[in-house]
Amino acid sequence: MSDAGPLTRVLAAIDAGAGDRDRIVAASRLSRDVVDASLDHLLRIGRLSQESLALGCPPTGCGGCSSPTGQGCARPVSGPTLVALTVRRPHA
Amino acid sequence: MSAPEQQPAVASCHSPATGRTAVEGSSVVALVGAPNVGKSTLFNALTGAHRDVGNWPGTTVEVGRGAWSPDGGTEYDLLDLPGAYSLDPLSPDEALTRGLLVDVPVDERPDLVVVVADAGRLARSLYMVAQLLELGQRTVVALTMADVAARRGVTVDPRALSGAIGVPVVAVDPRRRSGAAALAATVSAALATPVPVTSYAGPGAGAESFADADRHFALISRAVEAATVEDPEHDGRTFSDRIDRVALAPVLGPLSFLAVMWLVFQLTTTIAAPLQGALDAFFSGPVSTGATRILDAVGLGGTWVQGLVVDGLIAGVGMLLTFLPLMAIMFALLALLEDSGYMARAAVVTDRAMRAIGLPGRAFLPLIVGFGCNVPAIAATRVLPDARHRILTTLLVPFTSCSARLTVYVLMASIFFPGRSGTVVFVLYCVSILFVIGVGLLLRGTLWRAMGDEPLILDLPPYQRPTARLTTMVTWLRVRGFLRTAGGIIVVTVIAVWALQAIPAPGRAGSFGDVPVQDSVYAATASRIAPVFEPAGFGTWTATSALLVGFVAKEAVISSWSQTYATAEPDDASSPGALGDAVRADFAANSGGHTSAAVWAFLVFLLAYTPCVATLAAQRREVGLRWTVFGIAMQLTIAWLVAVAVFQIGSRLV
Repeated sequence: MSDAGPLTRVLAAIDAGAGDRDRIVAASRLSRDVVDASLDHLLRIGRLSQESLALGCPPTGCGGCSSPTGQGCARPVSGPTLVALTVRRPHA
Repeated sequence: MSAPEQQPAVASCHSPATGRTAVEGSSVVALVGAPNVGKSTLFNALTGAHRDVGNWPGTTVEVGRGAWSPDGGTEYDLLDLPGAYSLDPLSPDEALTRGLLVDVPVDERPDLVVVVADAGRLARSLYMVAQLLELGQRTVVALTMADVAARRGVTVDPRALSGAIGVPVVAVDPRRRSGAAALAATVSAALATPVPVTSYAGPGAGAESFADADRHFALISRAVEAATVEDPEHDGRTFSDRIDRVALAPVLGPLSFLAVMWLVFQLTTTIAAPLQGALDAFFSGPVSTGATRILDAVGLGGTWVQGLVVDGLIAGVGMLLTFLPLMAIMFALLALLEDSGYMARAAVVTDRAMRAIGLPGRAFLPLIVGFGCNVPAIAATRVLPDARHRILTTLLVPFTSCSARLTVYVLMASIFFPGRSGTVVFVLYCVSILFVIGVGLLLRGTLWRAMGDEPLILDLPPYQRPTARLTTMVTWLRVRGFLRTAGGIIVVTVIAVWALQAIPAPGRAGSFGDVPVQDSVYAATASRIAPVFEPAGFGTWTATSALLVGFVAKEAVISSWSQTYATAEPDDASSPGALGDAVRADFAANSGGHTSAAVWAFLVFLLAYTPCVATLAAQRREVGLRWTVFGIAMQLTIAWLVAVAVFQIGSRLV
């Protein structure tokens, strides 16, 4: 694995269960700067997908969800957003 | 290419001549680089022009052009190309940069490219360099932001970087106009060298493109390693990093989260208590008295209408509304935590815990939402790509203790454990977490033994100072939702409960609206089920009927009790008054003297059984009727078993 390129090593670290940047840095043995740049690049080329996770649903009491549709998280999302990056497999 | 030759190509790309243009035949030098690296500032420093610059991405949306005369003699035609991270465009800005560097004929390309690289984010800046080298382009790196990197304890050695990446590197500081002479000398020297020969045809696609990129990153990694020195004495961590050392630590992180939540509940119950008492006195005093007088005045005093309005709507809905300050304070505190960024840390801590016990990592999101309200939490299971994960999480969500249950916890705690309401609520939320973990493990060990999980990275935002506007808005949204519940489904439930309490049970004396509540259809129905709860210590029709009504919504437990006991609240602003006395007496009389054990059993049952009909509807919509029925049966069974265990064990200990 040490002969593999940084992008491959970062993907391998994620596959192995590294769930945040610090763990990817530790698993890939790359510098944080290179890991950050690699993640950015993997996002650009579509090997990672990015989504904001809304944690700010209104706790309005069961049976009284204020979401207009009664389903899903009502907006606005409160506070800084947690971002999830998910590995996307290339088509065979 | 020389200045006049490139004019049509650049002019077609909206090139504003932002200053004096270079004399004909001057070498064309292009400034490129990622957005926000100081490229336009450097352009202004070199040409004396005044392009619009700022510290946000995408500032440069056009091609700037000006004359650069470093020594008063030699002159270069300097282009300021739009911000671009690479030559594989994702935006019109990047497409324009690629168009001018790659897609034009070789003889129309700039004579030299200066890549402006941010020393603080060196790896990201060097990708363009790697691509340009492969294209056979004369390249020089202008290293900016060295001061920013230094503040983070990072020093970049231009000489070492040059040796590693194979192009000249010059440190510049365009804001202080330093390094310009060195850059000019380096550009001059580079222009004197022949254009590198290459057979490279440009970036590829698919797997080939990934391999190219990986090769570029290998070069970048070696260059960063060779050129970057981190000061071991310098704590390069940001404010967020320092807090996260505790907030995300394996052991301290979860403990901190629990401590924060205890504080939230403690503050909520302590601050809300006097306000709650005042509202209680208001509804049971002036509002009830006023309504009675009005009904008397219109000739409806003493009729079933008075029973419906005063003992039903005002007692039931009014009792629930006394919890408004409590809910508002808790919503505000949670909004502050969300707005500060702390809740994102709680999510990461939860995610780790879930993965550690083999539950799907991404399920933390609906489960956290569930602590607010189970209905959107069920819908939020859609973030889970695997159907089995969705079903599993949908079955677990009802065990997350929603805010509706909080009202009952606080009422019971204030009756039986006065002064310790915050801690009682905290314990129940911990029990809720244990339910989620325990039932999750149970289901994973039985129904879904083989369940994979997709890799997932959680990227945390930095902490920020909460804003009053957002906190107020979110709090109001949630308070409004609580009021809608009180004004909607609870009103309907109160009327239904009142009607059932007004109808005499078969074989009992009385008429509609004139029957003791214990002789009503309501009590008779609950009495048939009550024996089921005797092993749990609360086998009374009063407790059972409240749990039955709680199927509709948990807030209805409070309103129904208020109707059942049909008591007027005293003006005491700090105690639950006569309702509390009645509930206390009921539990004491039917628990064999083990009141506390029976109360805890009741609270645990209330926590674990079906949350409300809206949650059931959401479950049916997401996972179908079969799993919904399975969920109801599972929750009732688990709730009953644990409640019985709590009472049986508790009654022997206390």
